[in-house]
Amino acid sequence: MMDGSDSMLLEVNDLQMHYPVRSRSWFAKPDYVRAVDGVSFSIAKGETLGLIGESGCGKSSVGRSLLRLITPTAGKVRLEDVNILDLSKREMRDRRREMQIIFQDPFSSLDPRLTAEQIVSEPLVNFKVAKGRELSRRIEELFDQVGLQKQHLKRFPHEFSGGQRQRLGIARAMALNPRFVVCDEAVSALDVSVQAQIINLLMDLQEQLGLSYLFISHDLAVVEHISDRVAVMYLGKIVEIADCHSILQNPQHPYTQALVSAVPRRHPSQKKEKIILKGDLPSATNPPKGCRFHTRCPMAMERCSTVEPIIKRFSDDHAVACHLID
Amino acid sequence: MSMISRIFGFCLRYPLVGISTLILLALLFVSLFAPFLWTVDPLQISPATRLRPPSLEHWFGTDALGRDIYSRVVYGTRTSLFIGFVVTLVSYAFGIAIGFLSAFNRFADTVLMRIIDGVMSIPSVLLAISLTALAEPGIWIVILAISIIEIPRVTRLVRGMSLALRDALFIEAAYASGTSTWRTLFRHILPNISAPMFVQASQICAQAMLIEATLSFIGAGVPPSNPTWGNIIAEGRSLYQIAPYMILFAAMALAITVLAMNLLADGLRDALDPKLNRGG
Repeated sequence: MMDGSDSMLLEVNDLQMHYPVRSRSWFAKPDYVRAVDGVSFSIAKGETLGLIGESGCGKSSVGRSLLRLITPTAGKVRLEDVNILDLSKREMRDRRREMQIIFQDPFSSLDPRLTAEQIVSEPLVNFKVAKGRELSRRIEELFDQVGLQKQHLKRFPHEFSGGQRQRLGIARAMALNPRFVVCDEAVSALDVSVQAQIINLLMDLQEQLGLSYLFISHDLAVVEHISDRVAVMYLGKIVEIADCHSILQNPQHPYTQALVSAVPRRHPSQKKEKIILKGDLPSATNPPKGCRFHTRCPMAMERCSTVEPIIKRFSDDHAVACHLID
Repeated sequence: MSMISRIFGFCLRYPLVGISTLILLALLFVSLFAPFLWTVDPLQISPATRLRPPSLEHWFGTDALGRDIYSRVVYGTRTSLFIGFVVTLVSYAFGIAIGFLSAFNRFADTVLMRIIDGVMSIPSVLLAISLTALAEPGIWIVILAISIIEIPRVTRLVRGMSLALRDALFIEAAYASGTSTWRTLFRHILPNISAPMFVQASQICAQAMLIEATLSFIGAGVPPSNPTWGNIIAEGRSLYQIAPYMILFAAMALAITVLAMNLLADGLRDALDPKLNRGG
């Protein structure tokens, strides 16, 4: 599944996103925050790839680069056979029909001055998909799909609950029948009970419409529920990528092990030692030499601080970037 | 019927907006129908009836040349409102354009904001005086001068609020939905900054009328033959101790208009907040 076979919808190759930071003097070389520093993965049709990592590791930058909401520094993003980073602005705009995003914050991602109906109709009007009666029919259909009622059409965003707002955001993303949707922490801002509803809605829609998701989250429990495969990111790089089951049952990278050990057990009898990582995420402006995780790794060796591990196949559907694997 | 009751309900909920709008509508009526409001020719000189105090014949009295002050104040409403509205329109047209440009283009921002800073560093009345001195006196040069003073204020407001909104998630969402930049500006950004803009517009309108009066008062504004409130006050200045009515009514008209404008600004601030919107 990890080969670039024909079933792949999206392939990301060595994606880099470096944000310039203001340098101390005019003559100093400008510094860059290496938010994303060489990330590669692929997503098959109808598949969900979970992308997890702690805050500031570059997950959202990956999601936004894929849709060119920010322009990546380097790399390739192929949607079927087209590298979307090579497209002109106008060509990219047409491609947006196929790629959509659901944002984390259901409060600030909806224009407070527009009604629910206007918000959902915006992409349809932009691409002249429907007009007049056809448009209202399509909007009602979308409302129905995401579990909103007809009487919600004329309401303003502040009249909805958080979960309903997120449904509205989902309706907007689904309006153009995209094939690939980035869910950028789509449920992180919601209550746990609402999270479950939204996740189930996303999974239902995936089944109905054959969507592929990139599901970005910092919550392994949520990612476990929705993902087919999971990629673990640390400081701008993917350290481990595998199918969901292997990541949870057989994590190889010490960072993944720490993450998995932090997920609450379902039953008190399933005791397991928690691995508590020391220290903070190092600065992405000046990442540690060698393995980026060696400053916090409980199993760091001498080699880790000098040689950067490359991501290697561990088993059929499981790749890890760690010297311990050799 | 429902329209009328809705407007009536709105005015009850926001009495400040209701009262000030009523005053401004009355002023608009006065300026539109000035010739039919028992006025005589405001330029008609009659030396025989100079400096008459208010009476049934001359409601507000007459000035040093025997002109009817009531007629002059009523016709002055035209000039003041006209200048106020035109200056507001002109300064918003330019202010929104320049504000958007500098919020979305970094290079333009650097250049334009330095120019704006420069204009704002000159005392406004002084700037207006020197601008009116450049051309023949007339109402349009006054409008131009006051607009140049007001444009930077609008620009600053539009730019600041657009910058704050530019990175808002719903703007990014619009972009992701394929909305063009122009459409984003007018559909998402403009409506979201409109409330403070309306508030400031009524203040700018009031400010423009005050500056016009100031310019006329010191003789740098509209030519003295035109009846404007500033001109009327200026002419009454030397005689106010023996004929206070010469400046009283014009000053009152000016004060009421500016007050109504400021009340409107205050009321709009509450009425236009979508989160406080109580229907209507």
